[in-house]
Amino acid sequence: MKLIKKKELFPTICISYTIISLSITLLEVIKHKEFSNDQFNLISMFVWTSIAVFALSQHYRFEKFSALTMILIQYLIAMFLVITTIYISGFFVPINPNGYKDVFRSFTIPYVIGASIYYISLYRFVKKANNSLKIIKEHSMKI
Amino acid sequence: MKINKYQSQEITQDRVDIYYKKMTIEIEGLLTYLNENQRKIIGLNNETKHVLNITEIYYFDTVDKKSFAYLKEDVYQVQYSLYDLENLCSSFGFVRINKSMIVNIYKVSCIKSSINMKLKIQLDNDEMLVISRHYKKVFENKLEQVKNELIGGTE
Repeated sequence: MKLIKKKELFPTICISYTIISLSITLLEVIKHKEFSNDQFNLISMFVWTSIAVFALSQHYRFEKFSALTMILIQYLIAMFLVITTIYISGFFVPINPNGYKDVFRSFTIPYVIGASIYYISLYRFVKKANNSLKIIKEHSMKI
Repeated sequence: MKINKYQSQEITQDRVDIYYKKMTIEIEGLLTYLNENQRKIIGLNNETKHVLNITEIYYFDTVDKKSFAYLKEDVYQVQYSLYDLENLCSSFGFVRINKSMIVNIYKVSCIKSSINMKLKIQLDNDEMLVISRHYKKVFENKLEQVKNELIGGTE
């Protein structure tokens, strides 16, 4: 077996846990031919996480757009896919009356936090870069 | 005149430092030799060839697989690919900022971020260029490298 390196430890735990949890859940669903609420939530979380990761992974396609446009496009794509999965799952299990609202909230808040963090990092980058440029200008004039 | 030469694996760029008490013909000659032998490239403008000093170039841009060198006011076509220019001019402070452009850090006046989170470079001649997100880190690293070299070189 290939040796698990230090930096691969956390991703390996995540992947193993996901595979084991999903496999056991799916086997139980197949065995009993019905979803419990917990099983449904677990599978839904997996689907939504996959959608979010997929949407974020497509950032290189929006390189020509500004960061704000990219964040908005990714958010809209992800939101559309999530709402669609809830709509489809509504044919198999009953959906809580606040279901759409809850999902909208739990998807929008992380996106807004993520966008804010990006904006702050951009502001810090500009400040640091301008300080470096100032030093470069001063020193290159001396030369 | 005493001459010393040092080989070091720690420096990132070859350099020549000259220490003198008084400017002499000997040192002036040495400086002229070094300045004249700086890397120069040939640029084409109105079908006339011009010798361009790399340090005077603000940035390179590629349009339809043709590369252009932008100086303060003039534009010259150069016979190099962007990849070659990147390697050739890296030691003069040039760095890639997006798919088609390489900028001279010494000609950058400041960095600005717009309301839509786009990063822009303002050059000394007031031209504005866009840094793509992909090359942001590369630009940041180059800036630090040039800064550290200059601080180390003048101290």
